[in-house]
Amino acid sequence: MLLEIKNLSVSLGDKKLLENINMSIDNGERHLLAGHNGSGKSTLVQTIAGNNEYKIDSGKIIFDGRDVTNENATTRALMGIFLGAQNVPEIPGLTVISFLKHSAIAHRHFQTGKDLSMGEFLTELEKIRERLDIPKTWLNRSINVGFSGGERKRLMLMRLLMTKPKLAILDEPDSGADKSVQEMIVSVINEMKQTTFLFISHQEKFTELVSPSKTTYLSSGKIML
Amino acid sequence: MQKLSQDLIREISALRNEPDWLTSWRLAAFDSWKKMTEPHWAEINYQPIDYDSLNYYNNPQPVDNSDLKSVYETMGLPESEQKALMGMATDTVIDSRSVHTSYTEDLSKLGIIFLPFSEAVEKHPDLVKKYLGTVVPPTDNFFAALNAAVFSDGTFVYIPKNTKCPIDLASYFRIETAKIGQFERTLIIAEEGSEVSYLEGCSAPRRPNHQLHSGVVEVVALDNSIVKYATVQNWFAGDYKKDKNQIGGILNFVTKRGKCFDGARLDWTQVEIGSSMTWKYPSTILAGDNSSSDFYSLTITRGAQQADTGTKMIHLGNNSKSNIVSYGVALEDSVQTFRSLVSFSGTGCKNACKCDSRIIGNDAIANTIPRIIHNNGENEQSHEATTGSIDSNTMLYLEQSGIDEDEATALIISGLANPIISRLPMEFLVESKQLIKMALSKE
Repeated sequence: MLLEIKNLSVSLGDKKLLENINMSIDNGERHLLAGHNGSGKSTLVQTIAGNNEYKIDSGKIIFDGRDVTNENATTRALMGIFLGAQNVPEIPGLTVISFLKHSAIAHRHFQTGKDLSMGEFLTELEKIRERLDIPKTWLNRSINVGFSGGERKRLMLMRLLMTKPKLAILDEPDSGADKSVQEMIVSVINEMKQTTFLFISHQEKFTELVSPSKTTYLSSGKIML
Repeated sequence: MQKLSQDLIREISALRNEPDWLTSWRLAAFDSWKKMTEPHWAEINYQPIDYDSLNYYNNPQPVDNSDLKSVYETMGLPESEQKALMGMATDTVIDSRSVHTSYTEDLSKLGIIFLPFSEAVEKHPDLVKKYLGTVVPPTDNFFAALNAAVFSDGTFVYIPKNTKCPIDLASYFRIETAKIGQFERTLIIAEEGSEVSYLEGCSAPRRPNHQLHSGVVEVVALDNSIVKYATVQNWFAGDYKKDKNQIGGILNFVTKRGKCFDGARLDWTQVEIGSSMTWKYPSTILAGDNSSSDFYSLTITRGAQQADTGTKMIHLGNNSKSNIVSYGVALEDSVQTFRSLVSFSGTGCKNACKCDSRIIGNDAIANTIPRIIHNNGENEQSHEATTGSIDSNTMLYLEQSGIDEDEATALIISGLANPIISRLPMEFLVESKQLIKMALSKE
């Protein structure tokens, strides 16, 4: 089992957002998290990815055999939890290449205790850039500044291919992307055989394409049985 | 140790073999200083300075080329900074004396004078006499008067007419001895149509007591010349204790000013990271028509550091233009104040002022105090100010990408400060990014 959530209750201020959630995801699974807007899907995935704005009132998150409930977002990311969030910030002055480099160096160091050489990074980056059909000049743009919906998704895919996480959580990966980018997302997902996926999507077309092996329904912060 | 007096000033002047006119100039400044009171309008607090207990003169031995690397190593300068300084024409000033100045002979072939101040007084007295105190007069303010009375070495730069200085010039200031004050003086003269880029860096070892640094910089930019002046200030900031007492650190009172004649341009870029207390406002008198000046500043304070800094743009000439961009980051218990004064006496002048401050944590303070004076004429001025903390969504995005909090903060701040640090000479870009990362790191 890759991820196990036990009796998880979460609140934001006085508001209880999730109540007694129990779910598990096996290695290699494609898991769909479904539910109406406001049902708590994004809260759940943000909590899994270590967003400490959401307070864990009770329960545990076990990832890859380790209790990560008290680990911060950075450690969870380095352990292999990836979140492609719906809303991503603009970061003026921080270039795509610099961001990816810092992220890749941190991952390599955490996983092997060794440094990632600039040569290795650039070789990998070039492969990914070509795979996603991204022009070179794009790498020197500031993160998400002036990016179209499709460009934001491509950056998400770059992060995904660069860090090769154990668990990739994609929160509405298909929204704001045109047909060609949607197809690219699906083909990348199909390519990443070693990665377990947890999706949130409202698009039937998309869910058909990625064919989830399991679905969990959320309603008003609870799992519908 | 000798009390600050006319005798001490005569003694310093004699030790430096100065001509009579300079001794008299110092003594007149000392008379003015005695009549002045220390200014306390800035948002800074410090223990009273006992001017009689300071050591005003220490004369370390000069070093030659082969020893320079070991001197930098002894100072504890990082390798990248050593390399940067060795690659530039550098005047290295320790305490009261320039101990080494590189590329002087090569530059002199182009008519460029790049010398320790004392040597310039000896070899080019007419030039020094003509321009000394013309931009920052000895009576300008309390600390400028003190500097004029007791100043020790510093750097003298002269760029002849229509000459572009082929390499970046630099001064590196170091306060090495305990209880000494450093009072260097820099004078840059850019003749008509000339161009020069100059960088100053500074550091001091960790000491338990405060040390006074009171420098003066004068820039004379004659018709159609271009002067780029950059500073990376990393004086010892003191040891921070949670009870808000900063132990030791440099008290940094500096007067920097340039005067632009017709069509001349002066750009200030400063990265202010060190000092327990900073009082510094690099300013430009836009005396000539069509003259222009930019001020780009990044200030990072933490612990109990206090920085009161900013600029003045004095538009006297018609159609003169200036641009002010300030970015400040205040962490922990530090206090930052940004002041700007834009004054218009000409017509057709333009100024744009943009200041942004980021406050990290619950206890840091950032103040912004802009002032605009329209005397006459039709001029354009815009002012934009923002403040806030670091956006939590941005932090989270980087953390969820595996980047730790310190690194994420440094990346966000460096990104925002990029328009400022990208203006530094190439040699110092890497070093500055490293300094910014260290300044923002919790360790």
